[in-house]
Amino acid sequence: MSGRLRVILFLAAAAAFGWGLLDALAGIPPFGDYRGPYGDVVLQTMGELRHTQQGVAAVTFDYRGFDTLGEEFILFAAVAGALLLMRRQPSEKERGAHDQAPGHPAARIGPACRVSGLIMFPFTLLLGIYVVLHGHLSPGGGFQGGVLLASAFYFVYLSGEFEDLASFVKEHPVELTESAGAAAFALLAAIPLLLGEPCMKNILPFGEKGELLSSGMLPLFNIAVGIEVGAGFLLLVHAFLKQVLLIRKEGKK
Amino acid sequence: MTLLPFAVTVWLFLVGLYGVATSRNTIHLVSCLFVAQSSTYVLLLSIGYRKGGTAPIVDKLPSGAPLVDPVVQSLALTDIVVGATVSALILICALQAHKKGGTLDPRRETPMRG
Repeated sequence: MSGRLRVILFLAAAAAFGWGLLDALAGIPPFGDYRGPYGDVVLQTMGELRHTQQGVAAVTFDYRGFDTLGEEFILFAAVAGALLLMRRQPSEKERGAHDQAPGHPAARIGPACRVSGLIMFPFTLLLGIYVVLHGHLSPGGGFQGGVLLASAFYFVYLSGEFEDLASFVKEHPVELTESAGAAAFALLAAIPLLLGEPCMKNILPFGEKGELLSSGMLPLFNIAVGIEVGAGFLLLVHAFLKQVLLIRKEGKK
Repeated sequence: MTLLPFAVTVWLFLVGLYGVATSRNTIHLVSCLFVAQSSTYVLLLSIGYRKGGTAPIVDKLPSGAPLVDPVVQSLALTDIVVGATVSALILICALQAHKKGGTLDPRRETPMRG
């Protein structure tokens, strides 16, 4: 199919589809005129029943907690699949870390870049831990904090060599950490089953609303997800960088 | 004005889809797919918006203050996570296809055999 025919076909289909979609969206309650009821039910009951002040965390890990269990395993399966697809093929070999582009000397890292990376690493790590632990009190949570934890390690790569990042992944069992995070979520969800209660039913005291130790099991779910997301994204970035920097076809220099 | 968020949704979706349909580079294609997907974030959040509403965190808020719907925000969170993982998987397929066929153009890639 020629490029022009492709565009004409797309534009015709897009015009019809866009008009229908806009027409359908114009029929739902107008912007700003929220009619509920689910959001209102959550907002009214989360303080009394869950001792939680953060609506989004309450929905994600409590009201819709079972969905999040599935979502978490989507993430786990995707990371596992990504690592499987990116393993070294028999026709490839690993070599020292070099820039792939020919005639391109390895970039030198200036002292300013190195120092700012070293400063950013601990503070990003700290911010990630803070966001994970306060997920039930303030905006954030396990998913957001986990991404922050992983991005702390990007600073290790940016301010040093690839080997610095690789040593984190090799020497510390990141894969085990990721699996442990996923398993912790599933076990936490399953513990109430052993006590003869429904899955994911809260079995811990709720505590004082607004305190760090409150909202029952919600902070524990946040921590499990934070560990899994952080370790998973660290594994992903390590595997991608390894593909770009280390792995070459056999026979090519 | 009340139709604007929905118009943005349709626009983002179609622009992303246009990029996917005409793309000659798989990495560009993944970016376009993400643009199309971000239209769903706009739609979800604009459905849950309440005029004058603030974030659904009731710390130190007077009771009865208008709050936006936390359910759709939670759905948007799920949406983002799934989108990121899907993008990562497509990028890896693009990388391996580039190694095999030497091209990133989805129209010129040779069919793969298992």
